[in-house]
Amino acid sequence: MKLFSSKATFVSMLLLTAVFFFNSCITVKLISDYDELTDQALHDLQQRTATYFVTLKRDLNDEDGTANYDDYTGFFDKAQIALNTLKIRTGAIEKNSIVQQQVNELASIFDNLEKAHKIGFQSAEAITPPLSSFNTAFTAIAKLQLALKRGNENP
Amino acid sequence: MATIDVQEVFKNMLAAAKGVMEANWEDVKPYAEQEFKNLSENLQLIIRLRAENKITEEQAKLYLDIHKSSVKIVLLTIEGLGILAVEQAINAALDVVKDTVNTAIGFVLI
Repeated sequence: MKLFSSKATFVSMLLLTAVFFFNSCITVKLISDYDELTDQALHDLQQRTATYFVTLKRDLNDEDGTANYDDYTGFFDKAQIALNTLKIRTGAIEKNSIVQQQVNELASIFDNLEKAHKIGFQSAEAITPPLSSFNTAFTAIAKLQLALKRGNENP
Repeated sequence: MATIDVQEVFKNMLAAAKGVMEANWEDVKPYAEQEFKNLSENLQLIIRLRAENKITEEQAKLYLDIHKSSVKIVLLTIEGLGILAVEQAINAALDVVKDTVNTAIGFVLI
């Protein structure tokens, strides 16, 4: 049995295949698409972290000047849950190794902050370096997320 | 008190990033300069707080690790912005091919 009834049909099929192939290749993606869930989760985590530092600073500036780690375990638990969720989400997206590495570094920052808090902070000034590092990290992450939107092509 | 040359650290960080991002350096330079300046100052603050005994030695080490992670995150963003710039250039070139083919053939083929 002949697969194509005529030479013209065969050429048409070939042309359609070529057009389809070229169209599918016309936009090159070297890095993952923007993912709204990832961006939102990172934004929520940034807000919770900002709240943590505001509360911590107030507690350290109080009369007794203490900020017991035990009063902050809820924050660290929620942050760890959010980061685990983010690790799974970012790992499931293609060409997403840069965002994945950023989430891993962020998890490391939270881990080290928790260890530093367990030791105990002596003053509000003592929390300035990690606060600055967090601001730098979250700004960098947000900058890449905004760029990944590629002019709202895939928001 | 132990001190560091913030300007020197800043210059070295910039030089390292420029080496990696040579092709797209001009695009990311303003962002990189601002962030590396902040990071250099933060490093100096950690050293001062430890020297004044306002943080423990263990906390200073943890702060340095936090600092290193934030530097990595900034460098990853710079790398990502560079990849996006390359992607944009490739797609712009492909658009030219698309326009050329469509114009030559007289209808919208691709």
